[in-house]
Amino acid sequence: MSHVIEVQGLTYRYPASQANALEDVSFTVEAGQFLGIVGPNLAGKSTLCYALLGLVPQFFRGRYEGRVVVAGMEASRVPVHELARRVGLVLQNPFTQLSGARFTVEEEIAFGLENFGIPREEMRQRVEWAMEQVGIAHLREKSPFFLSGGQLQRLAIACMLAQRPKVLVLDEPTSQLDPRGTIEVFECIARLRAGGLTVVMVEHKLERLLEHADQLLLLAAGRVRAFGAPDEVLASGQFEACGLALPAHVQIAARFQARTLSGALPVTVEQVTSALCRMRPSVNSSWLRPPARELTVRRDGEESRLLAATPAISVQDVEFAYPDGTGVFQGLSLALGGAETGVRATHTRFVATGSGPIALIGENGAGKTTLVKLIAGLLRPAAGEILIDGQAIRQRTAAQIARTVGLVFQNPDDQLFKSRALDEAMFGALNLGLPSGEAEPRAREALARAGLAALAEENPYDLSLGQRKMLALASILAMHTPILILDEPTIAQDHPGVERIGRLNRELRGEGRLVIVITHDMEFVAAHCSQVVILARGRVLAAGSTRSVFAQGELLHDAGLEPPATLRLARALGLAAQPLVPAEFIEIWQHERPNNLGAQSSADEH
Amino acid sequence: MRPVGLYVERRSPLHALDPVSKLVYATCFALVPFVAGDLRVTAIVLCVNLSLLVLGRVLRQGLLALAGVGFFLGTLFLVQGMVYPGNATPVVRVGPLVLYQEGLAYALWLTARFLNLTLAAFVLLFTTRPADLVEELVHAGLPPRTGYVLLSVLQIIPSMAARISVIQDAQRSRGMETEGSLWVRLRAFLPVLGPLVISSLVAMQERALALEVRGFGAPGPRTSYRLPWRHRFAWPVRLLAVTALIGALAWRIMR
Repeated sequence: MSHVIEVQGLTYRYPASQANALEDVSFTVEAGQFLGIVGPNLAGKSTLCYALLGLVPQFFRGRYEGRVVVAGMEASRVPVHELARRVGLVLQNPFTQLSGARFTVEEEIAFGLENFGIPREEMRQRVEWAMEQVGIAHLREKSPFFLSGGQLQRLAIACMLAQRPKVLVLDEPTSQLDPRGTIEVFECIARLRAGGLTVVMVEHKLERLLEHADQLLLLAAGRVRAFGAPDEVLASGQFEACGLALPAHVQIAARFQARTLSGALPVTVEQVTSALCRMRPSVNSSWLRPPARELTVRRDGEESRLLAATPAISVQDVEFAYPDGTGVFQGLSLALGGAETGVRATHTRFVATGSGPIALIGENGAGKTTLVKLIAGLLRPAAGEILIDGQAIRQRTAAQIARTVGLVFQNPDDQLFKSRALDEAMFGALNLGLPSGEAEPRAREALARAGLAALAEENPYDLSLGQRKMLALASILAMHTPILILDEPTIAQDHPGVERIGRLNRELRGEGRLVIVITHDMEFVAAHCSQVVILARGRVLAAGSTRSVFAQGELLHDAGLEPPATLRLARALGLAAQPLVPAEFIEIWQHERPNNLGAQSSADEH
Repeated sequence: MRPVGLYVERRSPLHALDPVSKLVYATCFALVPFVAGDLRVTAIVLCVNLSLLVLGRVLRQGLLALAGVGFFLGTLFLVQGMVYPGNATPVVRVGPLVLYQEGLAYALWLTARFLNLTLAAFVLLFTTRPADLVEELVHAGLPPRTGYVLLSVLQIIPSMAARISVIQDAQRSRGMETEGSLWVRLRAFLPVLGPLVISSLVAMQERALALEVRGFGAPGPRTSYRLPWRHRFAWPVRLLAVTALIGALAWRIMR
């Protein structure tokens, strides 16, 4: 097979930077292969994508050494528009990829083709084909400016597909997508690969990546830490060394030293299932099924104290439509937080009681962000009432509600404007009317909790996106609101960042504060949220404890979601118990499995 | 995000007419009263424009938009009625104020031309998407890059407005009051401006990258996805509009 991508000794430094973004990077990709690029924040993943398109160094300038050849063209020399005829690039933020000058979806897709002078008849065929590939043909007449994040991302991919590239480079193309949307994008890529497309994809969603990638490249601090077949890279130990976490099912496989028939580490849920089945043949026989085990949260005195202290939100028959006529809610009722007895009085079927954290999940456009904006007073319901601790919020301004409800937006760049991180963290507290002598210690404490204590004097725009998200969170933390709502906090966070957010959620819960998290990250929900609310098409499909909601597989499927990998693995193995995280699975599996494996495992441990 | 402009979504014969013909019509019929220099011609053209707004089912929107300039026109009558240099014949006397016939007639003449100019523009703007107009101008020979710049400028205002609203929401959720007195609103300006400027710069760089990989810099002829807008009355309308303008000129010369 021929190499369609060849990178040799690539070292690159951005013009204003003191350090190299890429350091001696070398690898090759054969035609038709799928290369997954993984790594922590600031690893140089996006820079490498730019280098494959010649944008580094042609667009960004800077110091460049080494050689990058893509589809037979040397990327540093051949003009970008020439490379772009054979190499496509999909960036993380789909909105900025729009031309900004086309007013329907199909015209937007055709924009690149017009620039390349493709005849109209061929353009029509290509546009039609590209829309079909990503499932947006029904949106052809819609303005790109009115699409949801997920629809926009599919449009951005369609724009590139229409250019019929030989190599497609995608930089976190599913970061804005719900689980169903993510699967659709990966399936679409798989179909295109059947036609010979070579794919390079930067992606944090490892489970999906491992299902499709032929090779993995692990980058950290600009250097290649591991490169090769996915099982080899995962087994190399470099993942953990770079601060990344193995996917839940791979952690389980590694713990039990499960192997595929060829002796490799299994990397997909199916492979792990088969490997574990082989280790324990009896598991598929229903008469030997392990009994269901109770995995419930203890309701001790501490829990009761927390419940009594946690604020309660009651959403009663709320109706809401946007000014353009897009209806979102019609008679939505939901009770969040608070003690059970208190919320029962609201007479709603959907109750997520307790001290949380409560996960608000659902596909793109389900109404999650609209709901939290209504709770924060940023939008007003057309009918119905929202009560916080029994008090209607209708008469209060958003700024007044902000004393009770802190909402951390998904994009930190929508709010950061100070030249020092500490000032930014103090902004909310000062708005509450606190003197700066009181606001500063609060802000410092919040920065410390967000892991930014050492960066208090830095300019927020010198921080990474993950750190800026943490700073936006810190500025809300410093306001000491009883309710905190986090919109997609784990996007752009690497594993340590996600763990920190999970830890913080637990701490806040311990302080009697109610945390609500909007997320598409089911592993985060499984590990860190005790309650879940599923929204779909403006309606609540389910609310309750995480385990009870995840147990309703069909309902999740209706909402375009899927349970966490650990639970899917348990189901595939026929376990009656419902483990949500690897530790629970390991406990059940060890407890139930035959003695010979237990003995082997004990020997391994010693 | 609402697109910029005065366009009103309707189904009408005027909406179906191609944008370039409407542009030719609006330009010619806005100029006719100036060229003819006659109030009677102006009155006829005004009636034609009003009829077209009825035909385009946008008369209500047109009159509502005109209501905004009503105050300005009222002032014009008052000032010209009192201080026009040729004033000689008093018409109305209210206390010390005297309005003269010559001044009022001159104000009527100015107003008629202004109204006509505005209504002719409305015939175009209320029934034509700005994007369609630019696209058609590109088909008619405007360089595609100039067309791109014009179209993206059309998007800047609504996209900025949308961003401002998001940023304001983010700051309100940090307790910043944006509702209340002028001072409160002014104080809320800086926390919106900072993120707006920076995010616009970031977005600009990303868009420049995206344009590069979408072949914007590619040399050679461009093609167009849209077919040129064809309408069976396109040429008759353009011809009629130009004839009216030439006719007005002839009227002026021969009078």
